[in-house]
Amino acid sequence: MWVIGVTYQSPDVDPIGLNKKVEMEDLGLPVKQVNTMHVYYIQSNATKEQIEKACKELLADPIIQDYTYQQDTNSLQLAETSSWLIEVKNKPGVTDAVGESTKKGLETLGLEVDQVHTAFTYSIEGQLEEEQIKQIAEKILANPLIQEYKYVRK
Amino acid sequence: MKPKQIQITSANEQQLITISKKGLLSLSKKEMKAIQKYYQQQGREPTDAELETIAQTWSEHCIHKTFNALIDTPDGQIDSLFKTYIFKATNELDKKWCISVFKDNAGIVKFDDEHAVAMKVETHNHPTALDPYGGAGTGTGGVFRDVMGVGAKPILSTNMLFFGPLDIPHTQLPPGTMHPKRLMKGSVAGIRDYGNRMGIPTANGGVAFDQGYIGNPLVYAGTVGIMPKNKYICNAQSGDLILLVGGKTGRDGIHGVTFASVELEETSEKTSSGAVQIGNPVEEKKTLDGLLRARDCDALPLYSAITDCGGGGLSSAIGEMGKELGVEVHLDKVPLKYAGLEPWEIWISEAQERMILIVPPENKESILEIFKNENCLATIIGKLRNDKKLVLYHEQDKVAELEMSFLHSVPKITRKAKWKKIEEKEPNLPEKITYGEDLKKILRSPNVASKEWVIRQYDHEVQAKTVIKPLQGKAQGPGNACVLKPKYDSWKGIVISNGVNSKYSENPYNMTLSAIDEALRNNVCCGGRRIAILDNFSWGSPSNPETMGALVKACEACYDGAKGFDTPLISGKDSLHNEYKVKGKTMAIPHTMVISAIGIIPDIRKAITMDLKKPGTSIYLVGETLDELGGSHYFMVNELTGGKVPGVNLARAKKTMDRLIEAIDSELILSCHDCSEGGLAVTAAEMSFAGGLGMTIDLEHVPTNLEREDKILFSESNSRFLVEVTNEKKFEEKMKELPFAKIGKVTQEPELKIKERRSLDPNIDDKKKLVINEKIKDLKNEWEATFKW
Amino acid sequence: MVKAIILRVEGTNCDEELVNAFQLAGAEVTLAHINELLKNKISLEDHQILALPGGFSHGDDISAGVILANQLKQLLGKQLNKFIEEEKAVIGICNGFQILVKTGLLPNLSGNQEQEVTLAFNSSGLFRNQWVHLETQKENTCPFLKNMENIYLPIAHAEGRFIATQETIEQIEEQNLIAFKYVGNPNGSINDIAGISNSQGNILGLMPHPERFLHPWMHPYWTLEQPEQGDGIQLFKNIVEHAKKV
Repeated sequence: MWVIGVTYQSPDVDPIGLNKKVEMEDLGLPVKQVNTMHVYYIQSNATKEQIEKACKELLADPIIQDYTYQQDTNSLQLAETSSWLIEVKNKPGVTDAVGESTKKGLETLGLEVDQVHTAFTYSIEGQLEEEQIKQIAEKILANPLIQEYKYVRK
Repeated sequence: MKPKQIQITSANEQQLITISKKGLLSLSKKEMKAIQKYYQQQGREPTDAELETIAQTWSEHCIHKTFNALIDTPDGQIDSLFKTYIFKATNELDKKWCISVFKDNAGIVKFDDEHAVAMKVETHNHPTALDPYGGAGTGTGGVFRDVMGVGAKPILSTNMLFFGPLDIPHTQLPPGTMHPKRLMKGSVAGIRDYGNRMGIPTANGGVAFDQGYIGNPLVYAGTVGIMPKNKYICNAQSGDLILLVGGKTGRDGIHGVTFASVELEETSEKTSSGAVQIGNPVEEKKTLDGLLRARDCDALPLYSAITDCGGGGLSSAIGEMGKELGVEVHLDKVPLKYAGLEPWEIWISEAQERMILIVPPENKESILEIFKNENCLATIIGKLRNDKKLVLYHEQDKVAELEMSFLHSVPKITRKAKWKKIEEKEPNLPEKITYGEDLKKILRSPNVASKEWVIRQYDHEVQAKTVIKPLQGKAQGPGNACVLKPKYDSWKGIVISNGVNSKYSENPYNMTLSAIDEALRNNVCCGGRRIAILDNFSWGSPSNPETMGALVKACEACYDGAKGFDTPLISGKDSLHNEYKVKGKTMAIPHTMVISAIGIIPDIRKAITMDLKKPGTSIYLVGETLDELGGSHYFMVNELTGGKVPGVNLARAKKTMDRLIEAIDSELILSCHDCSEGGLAVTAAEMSFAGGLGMTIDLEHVPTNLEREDKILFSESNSRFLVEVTNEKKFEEKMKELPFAKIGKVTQEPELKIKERRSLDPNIDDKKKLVINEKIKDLKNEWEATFKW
Repeated sequence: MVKAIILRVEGTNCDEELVNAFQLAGAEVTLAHINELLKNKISLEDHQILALPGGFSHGDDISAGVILANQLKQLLGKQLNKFIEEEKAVIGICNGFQILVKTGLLPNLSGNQEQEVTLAFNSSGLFRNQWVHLETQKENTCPFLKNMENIYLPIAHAEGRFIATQETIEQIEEQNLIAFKYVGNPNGSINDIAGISNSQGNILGLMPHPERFLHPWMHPYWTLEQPEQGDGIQLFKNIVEHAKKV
């Protein structure tokens, strides 16, 4: 399984990250910066070259995004950050329309793909305690009813 | 897969209730006993699929038990609110232009000789409380499908949203509820993403707030569609095939309809997680693209009947369609999202974006080809029988067999209604010298404040049919209604508006009449006439006699209003049990009656907007202002309760609206806006916002018996309009015998100057003081501040 | 008669009004699903105008327009290149513009059809529907821009922010490839860029929707000041004029 993470070259072009930061500030939390990473979990025996091509042509916008990928890992290991990381993913069985479209896009590029699951990973900079991270996850980033979340402090 | 059997034939009453509870069936003791009797007669136990089918079909959501019930009231027994009030009004009005009312998925009325328009409004309250984005989105997608389900193309999306106060501290939220701000942002995003992706303009709606909606947000989603009249088809025959198109089936929303009849509690999240549905609007757009081509590729559609899969999933859709003939379904043919679903789960799943088409066998190949071209799944899953039975198979196993006659014979329930005493005590209300501050407070209040933040997220112009948009005038103020021009070769338009005010819930009869009046006034302001209305109730628990009594009064008002205004009710829905239990205490929502109105305008070039147009033109107030400040925003911002809730003088209101339409058609009017929340003062301010101009008014001329300035400024009496009139003589001639008066004029100076009614020295008019003297810029800032997110 | 083909896929939704626009401008119009092109039931070759409408092709999943852009490159690349070499007209509106930019057909400064600019999320992070005044850039010689002084059109998008490197922007300005600039930038686009063309002058992309202002009654406050005609119709007439010569 390939895990691909797509980040923005600058926070200025990451308005979702900026909006989430504002929501966290509304809760009174001392958040300095929030950066988002689009994550694609691709179940496929594609080669490294094919994945490289997929990143360049489909998954990452060359003008404003960067990409990184690895096999058999998860996005919390993949991301570079200086503080907290929270990954939010739909629970199994919940519709993942972007995952389905991504599969189609990859197949157009000639990859054979079993499944694609998507996730969002937020890297949060600030002096925050674990309890506050859980609050952020449950009140702002995820709906625990249909999504699961994981977090790690880097 | 061998079907599982549920032992009920020898169960005692307690055991029957347990079976229903454990299975989340929401079946009452009486209903379980009726089912038990049926199976005792059949000489066998029911399968799980059979019990689930009955539970879905007999659910409140699908069969409207309360609206069809026998109701014991202090004034006698009522047999069916629906028959006695709602349907009765439409029946008696007997309009030739009503094509299908209360029968299909949507109400259908004539547009012109070739086309018909369909409208439906639905609530999606409980799912929104759990997941606002998914709940509001799928509510929107669901109502689109209702209109697609009569074969119409959706051309408008509307919505009314209700949330708790936005400034409630997180610490005060009842456990298990989401903050109203999160609910609002999530709901707006859900509606936006669904409507925008489907290319359906969202051009009408509203958002309102009240303490009572904490824990129970409300989402009303509406759709208008258009179709050639000759493509409205309902001609299923035995042997016709059952075609399932659209998305795959999963465990989404299982027990969604039975869940809708249960009150929410702290632990609702964990026990009801299956009830949340997630939408995929592109899937539904593909289905729509295929459906329209299957409808239009030939003189007649390739299908003989059509319906959508909504509440109750396949069980409701197919169970309803095959009622007269009988159906046979092979559940193993249904495309699944993932493996491992039990047959009953496939049957009742509420997976989104699915439609059922009944197809004559000779059209099978062509219709499959059409959907294949759209990359839309289309699978034959069964056929219509001729023995009035519902038979389900999974591979070689028969998993259910029910007689349609039993399935559609819900035992009638009885309800008790009590009339709650209406308190109309007038509060102690000291007069002030000026009311600028009060006006500003009202303009800032969330119900009245500018919703531009919401409106601009919705594409309200896709399809290029929206000729009068939700924000009007050069300076973009709040429009009353939107107008669509659906056909390239016709000037005829559709006018859509709505009315609601749950602050009037103290008097449910007046509240409902007010909602009807408001929906109609909004429509008339733009030039709409030949109006049909839709009723949508969100209420607390009907097991509470006072709540039930309020529902009865509201239905009475629906009858009186429909008859009085000569506007038939063509469709409606009810959402009951909107209550939240915390620590044993129950919080119910205020009775919320939303009336939607769909009117026609013969020539859109004559449509009227509410922005002031020309300095120097006279302003007239049409309609009488009464001492009716109960539930008013003026009382609210002064933290007062009591007072009389506005009523409606039906005969006079109808006459007023008819004359106003004549004035519009005779081109005597430049702009027109109705008085509602905040009364005359807010109306004047809003017209000024939109036009970038100002207004002066002299309260002395206002048609009223009131003397107090504040009451005249802020009374929310119904059936009143502020009108910018070009031809005064002709206008006055049109309005004779009705209460009206010239009260001021439009000014170039963007200021709102309102003179007091009574002056200390009546001989010197210009010594009269100004009770409102504000710059439009300042008022507009207040109005825009609340939702500057 | 000039033949226009309007391409749709799952999620396209501004197609019908675009069909109407080209019909009013005097073209014969085919509305084709990409499957019909892939199955060779319809061919680009038979047409002189290719229009990519607005909407949410493939739901805007991954990023707006990128999935369809890849389909065009991988599956219809040959047909498309021939079409462009023959100087036939190509227009992309909103989602269509996003697609053209991601196929590298606009601005195509290098000539290698690589993606050189992008249309990112609006600075606000939200979808926005409003009307904007546009300055048609006089120095741009693209024939589609004739007789269009300054126009007023609606935008309705979430990903309309034109972004490129400093170097690329300078090249675009120098080569006069900018077609329209916003007055009152609604989404954070660099240099207020609302639309661009290629150096050949036969491919145009813009974020605003000309097909939504063909008639005076679509203006947002026509009840106050009724314009004589819609600002959008001229664009389509120009395209049809150009296509006649091809």
